[in-house]
Amino acid sequence: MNANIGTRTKSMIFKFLMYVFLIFVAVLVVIPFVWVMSNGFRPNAEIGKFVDFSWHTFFPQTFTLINYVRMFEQLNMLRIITNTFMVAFAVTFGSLFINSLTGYAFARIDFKGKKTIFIIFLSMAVLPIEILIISLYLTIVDLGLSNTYASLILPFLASPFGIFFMRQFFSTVPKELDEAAILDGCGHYRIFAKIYIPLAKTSLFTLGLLVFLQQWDSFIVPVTFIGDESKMLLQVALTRLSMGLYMTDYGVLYAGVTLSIVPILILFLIFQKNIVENIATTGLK
Amino acid sequence: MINSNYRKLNQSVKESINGYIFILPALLIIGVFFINPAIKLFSLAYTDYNLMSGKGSFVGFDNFKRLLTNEDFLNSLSVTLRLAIFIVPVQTLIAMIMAVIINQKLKGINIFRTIYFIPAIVSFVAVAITWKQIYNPTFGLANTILGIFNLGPYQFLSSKSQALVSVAITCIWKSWGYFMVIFLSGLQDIPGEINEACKIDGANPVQKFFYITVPMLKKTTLFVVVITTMDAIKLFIPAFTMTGGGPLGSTDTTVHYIWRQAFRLQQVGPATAMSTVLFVIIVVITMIQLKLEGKND
Repeated sequence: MNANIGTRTKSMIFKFLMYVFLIFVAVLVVIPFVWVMSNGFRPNAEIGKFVDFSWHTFFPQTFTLINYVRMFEQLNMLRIITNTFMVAFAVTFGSLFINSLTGYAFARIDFKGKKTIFIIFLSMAVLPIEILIISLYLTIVDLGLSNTYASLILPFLASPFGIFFMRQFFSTVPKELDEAAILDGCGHYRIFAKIYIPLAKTSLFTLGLLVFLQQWDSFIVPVTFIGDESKMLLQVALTRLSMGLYMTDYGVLYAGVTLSIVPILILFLIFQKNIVENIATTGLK
Repeated sequence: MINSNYRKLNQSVKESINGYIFILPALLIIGVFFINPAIKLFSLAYTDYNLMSGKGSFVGFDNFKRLLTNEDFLNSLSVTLRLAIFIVPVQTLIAMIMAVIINQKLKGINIFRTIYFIPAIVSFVAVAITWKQIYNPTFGLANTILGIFNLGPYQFLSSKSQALVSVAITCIWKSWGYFMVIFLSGLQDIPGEINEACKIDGANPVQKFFYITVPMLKKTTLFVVVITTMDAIKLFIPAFTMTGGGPLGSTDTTVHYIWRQAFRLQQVGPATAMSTVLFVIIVVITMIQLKLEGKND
């Protein structure tokens, strides 16, 4: 009886310490964001005022939205955000279409050289954009696409990962389904559009989410390909802001960082199950 | 007989044509934007192509020979290597231990999993800028918090000796939650009987961690180590956004150095030679990974 109580208190203490530790780590994770976001609501005169630790480290003395107003007035932020969303959506939907078309062909159609082409496609995954960026830029220039949205979209409309991902899914669809459809006189186009695409809804959604996030984060490509300020994307604009090409206006910078974090955070909190579970199973970005 | 054979052949030709039509868009994209630049990359490495003039002539192995004595390039390789040596083990260990902790059956544990994943979902640029501000020597949060313990003030990114570690900490802070989730799925693949057996045998948590968890996570660990190493090799944003490669080249990662050579100094020839070297490194790591994976199976 006594021993039982002993182990119970012991496990209670263990649980308590566990929670203390978990909360401590959570604070370490969250605090940088809280600090930057709270700075976005300070007037510039207050930034850097509270060097010693106090509750004002995280809570502005004077709460203001002036940084957000200035950001939209001076920076053409609306344009930048529109650009970023437009490019991200174009790549997401375009690549979903092309990658699933290709994935279907590799999973379900027998054509000459299929294996070889598939291996060539997949092997392109060893060439990260960081390696390819110089010669890809020259290709973009050769095609007359420099400084265009097309240069940010076209190269990403097909990806080895996306093709592989969709092929894997389509391979799990029972073949009897399309055999029945073939007997009914359906061709591949109809089987693909009427049977496979509806079945792949969840996979398409997941892949789309991953592609969208990747595009939102994309940096080395837009910073290299786009010089025109009116076509700038959000991450590049933030970097410019932080490097002071517009004079480091800290208030606006903090507001900008907040603006780049919040939509993604909301998206994540809504779809976290899809995102986290799929990363866990595919292990790929 | 002949007719039916002909029909079969006809059928398979038709099938092949269908296949090509389906893969045509991807074939075009991958051909134009992957294969073509890849060929270009490896051929430009043997020229003195200049971005400004748009011209270049064949120079043989000159670019590669010069790399051997190019101190800035060698420094950038060393920076990348040191970053990898710091980030890979520390981040992997944190991710693994936190996965074991998060894997416990505690009330509300999923909330913590969600919170820990947040930095992984936020853009690297936003994270890098945030941390650049945190590291600000005069009003950054880091010195404010260290000040509570009477430590500092430190120079962080403006100090040649502290900048690299500061960048590495930012990278780890950003990514450990992502790899925790990967370890978590590895842990959930460990059969329940093994945990039961552990309980019956009275193994304590530390014993269990070293004798059961770590060996069972071998495959996942290999995967995580390879991906993390690749990520470290490809680092560009922290150097570009936080430090500009400085002070005195102490955080000048290889990709950042190459990018500047090509797009700031227009030296495409040498820059593509450097990219080729980096590519070879990536291929070697991939081959080692495939070999080790084969051994594990």
